[in-house]
Amino acid sequence: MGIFDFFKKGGTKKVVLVEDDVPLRSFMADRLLDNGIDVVETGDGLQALDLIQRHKPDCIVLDVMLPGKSGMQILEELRVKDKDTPVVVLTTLSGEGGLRLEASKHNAVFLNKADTALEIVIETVLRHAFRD
Amino acid sequence: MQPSHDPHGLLLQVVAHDLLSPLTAVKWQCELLERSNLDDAKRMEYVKNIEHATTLGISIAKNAHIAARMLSSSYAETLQPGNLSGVLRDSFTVLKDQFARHGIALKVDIEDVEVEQSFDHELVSFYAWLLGKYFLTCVPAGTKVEATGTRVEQYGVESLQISVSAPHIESKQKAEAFVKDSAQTALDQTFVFSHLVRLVAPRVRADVHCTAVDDVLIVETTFPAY
Repeated sequence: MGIFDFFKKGGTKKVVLVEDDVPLRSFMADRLLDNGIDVVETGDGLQALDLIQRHKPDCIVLDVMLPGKSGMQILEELRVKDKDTPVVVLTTLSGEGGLRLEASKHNAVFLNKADTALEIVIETVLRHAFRD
Repeated sequence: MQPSHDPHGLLLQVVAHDLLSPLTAVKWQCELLERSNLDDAKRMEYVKNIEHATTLGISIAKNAHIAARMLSSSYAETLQPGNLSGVLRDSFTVLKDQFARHGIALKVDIEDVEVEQSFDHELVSFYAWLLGKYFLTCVPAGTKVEATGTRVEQYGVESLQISVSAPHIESKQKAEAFVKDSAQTALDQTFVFSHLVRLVAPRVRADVHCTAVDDVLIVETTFPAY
C-alpha cells in the first residue's frame, strides 16, 4: 500500500486548484487525479471564489500571483465567511516571510513551489483534504 | 507589499518571477521522470515539456538582458535592412506558446508591407515581446488576443501599423493605466511592460498609442515605411 492509499480510505474528495501557469497546474491536477481526487481548476483569480462557493471543496490550492485577483486577496475574502476549508497557498516568490505570515494569519498552509518537490505539494494537499 | 515606482527594480522582480515558473516546471518534470512506472510515451512527453520550458526560460533571460540594457541606457542600435513585417510576424508567433501557457489564444495576421528604412532586428523582436507581455499581464485566461499588421497612411506617409487587441477586459481603465508613470500595486507587471513599450517604441522609430473601443483594449504601433 502506497503512502497515498492511506488517504483514499476517506472517500472521494474535491480540490479547487487556482494556478495560472497551465503546465504547473496540469502537473498538480494530474497527480491529484491519479490519487482519486475530483479536481476543479482555473487560471483566473476572478473566477476562484465563485468556483469555491459552487463546488464546496475539501481543500483549496491558491497560487499567489494570479491575473485579476491575487491569491492572498482571494484568501482574505474567503475567510470572511469560511474559516475552516483548508487552503494551501503556493508561490515562487522570494521574500516570502511576509506572505507566510499573512497566510498563517488566515489559517492557510504556505509552500514555495520552487523549493518544494511536487510530491510534497501533493501530499500536503491530500493531507488537508482528508483531514476529517 | 507596497507599490514600487522604480521600473528597474520592478523589471528585475518580474523577470525573476517569470523565470521561476518554467524552472519549477523543469524541476517537477524531472521528479516525474524519475518515477519508474512511466511508459515511453509519457516519458517523451515530459522530455518535450522540459525542452519547451527551457526554451521559454532562455527567451525570458535574453529579453531581460535587452530590457536591462535599455533601462541603463547602454543599448546601442544596430541598423540593418530586412523584412520588418516578417520579423514582427515571427516574434509574435513565438509568443503563442507563452500565451498558451496562461490559457490565452494569440492570433497573428501581419501582412507584408515593404519598409525601406533599416532597423534593429533584435530591438524590434524585443518590442513585439514587450507588447505580448503587456497583454499577458492584462488579460485573463480564456481571452483571445489578436496581433494584426496592415498598411496604413499616417501623416501622408505609408506605414506598417501593428494592432494588438483583446476584448472583454476592463479596457477603459487599462488604456488609462497604459500611460501612467507609477505602479498601481506591488509587483505591478502591467506597469513594467507598459513603461518599457513606451520607452522602446521611439527606439524602433515607431509611434505607440493605447485606446479602448467599446470593451476592446487596443495598442497600435505605427512604423513608417520610409
